[in-house]
Amino acid sequence: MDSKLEVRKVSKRYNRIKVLQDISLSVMKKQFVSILGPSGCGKSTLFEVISGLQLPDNGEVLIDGKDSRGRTGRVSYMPQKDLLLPWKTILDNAALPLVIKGESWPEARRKAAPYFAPFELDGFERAYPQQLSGGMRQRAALLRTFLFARDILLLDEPFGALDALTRSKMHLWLLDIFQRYGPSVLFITHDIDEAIFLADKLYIFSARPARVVAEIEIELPRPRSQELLTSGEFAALKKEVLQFF
Amino acid sequence: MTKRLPNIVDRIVVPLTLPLLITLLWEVVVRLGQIPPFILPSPIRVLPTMVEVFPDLLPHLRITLLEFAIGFSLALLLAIFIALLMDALPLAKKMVYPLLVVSQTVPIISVAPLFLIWFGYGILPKVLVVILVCFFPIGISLLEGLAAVDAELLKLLKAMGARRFQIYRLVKIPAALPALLAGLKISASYSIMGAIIGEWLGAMQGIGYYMNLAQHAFSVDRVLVAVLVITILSLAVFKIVCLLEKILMPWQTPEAWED
Repeated sequence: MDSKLEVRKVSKRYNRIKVLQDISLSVMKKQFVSILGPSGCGKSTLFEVISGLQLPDNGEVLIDGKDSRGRTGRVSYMPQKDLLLPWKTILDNAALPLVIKGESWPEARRKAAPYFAPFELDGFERAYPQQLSGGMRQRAALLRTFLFARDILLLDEPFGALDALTRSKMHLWLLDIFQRYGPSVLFITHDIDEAIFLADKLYIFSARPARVVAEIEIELPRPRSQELLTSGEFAALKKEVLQFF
Repeated sequence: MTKRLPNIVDRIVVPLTLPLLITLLWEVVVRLGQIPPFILPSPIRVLPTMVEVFPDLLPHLRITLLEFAIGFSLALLLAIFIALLMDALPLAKKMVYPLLVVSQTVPIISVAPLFLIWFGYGILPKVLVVILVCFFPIGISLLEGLAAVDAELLKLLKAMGARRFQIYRLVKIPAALPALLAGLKISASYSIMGAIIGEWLGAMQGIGYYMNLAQHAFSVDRVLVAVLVITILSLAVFKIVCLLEKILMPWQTPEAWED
């Protein structure tokens, strides 16, 4: 199996409170995996463990088959807040991870610039974040995450702060990016429609401590369009998911 | 539609209205009350004095500016150094912070004469007073600015594998810049006053020294000229810091983006 990211029986406590309990999941190459769970269930802690910021108390994290516990600098994640630097232009914000990796600013900018068109940010290279709409800022933040490591994207409720209309546009756009570049995506959300619509596979997490309650394969054809949301297959999947809540 | 005043009215006429009214009131009070000039000269009498004594004032002005420039720069450097040190090392913060606060509770007026005893009548004791006055607002603002950086942002950078100096250079220092400049503004308005206090307590040159002489000669108009000069200097320093703010932080005032 071509497993890109594998989490095996990971447990984590925070100040004696159990946050993650025996979490096991896997993301294949070029697979889009959603994690669906209630807010504050510890999903964000899972990302901190995967990205190496936190050590798991038990269990393993494998990236490309290699033990990656406590190793930062391999995968980045994108939080709900865009966390763009207000004093840097969008181009510099996007280029930031390359600079952290040791490239010079001109070099990093040159590498980041070609992605502004597919990420629908062209023309805004020299704008500052506060001049952009919420949706554009999230696209810029995703570009930054993508430029850091384009094979694995960890997205933590990236569209949670957007209004519903913008959000559904962002879904189609994200699917387009996914088709075009084929990264492995792990996508955290508490929105059932979003989780099903985007993913190939869905994990349902329980409330704290987070456990994997169910693993559901989503065999909806790609490319996907919004008509899918009102289809019978989609409704059936949604019904299947809803029984876990 | 909101009614907007023309730029020049908005920026120059409006702020000047109140000072002009007060000056006018001053003139009226002096005339109507027939207050003798050696008690309170009218503004119309102060202005010619200003022109008259200005050549004599210039060397004093130079000294005061020199004391300010040295003291302010040293205070800035010292504040940046100490604040970064305290931010990077929690132990240093615990050790130095109380001392910083104590340094601010010591009344300047009581230590400045000691500086005179220790360091004489030259510019050094004045520079020290300026440092003492300016250091604290700059240092504390910067320290708080550094501590207030979004913890999630720092986490994200760590996840990207950023090293400590990269985090400071790319994020912490620019993020703390607005706080640093806020501190600079406060100390800019105190800085000239610090030098004046130092001179006033004992000096052989400087605006404060000049003011002291004028006072002893009961030359109220000259005292007022000195006050005016000090005010203009302080305002100028304040304005320079504001300008610096615009230059250093262009993102704070970006033009509206056209869609």
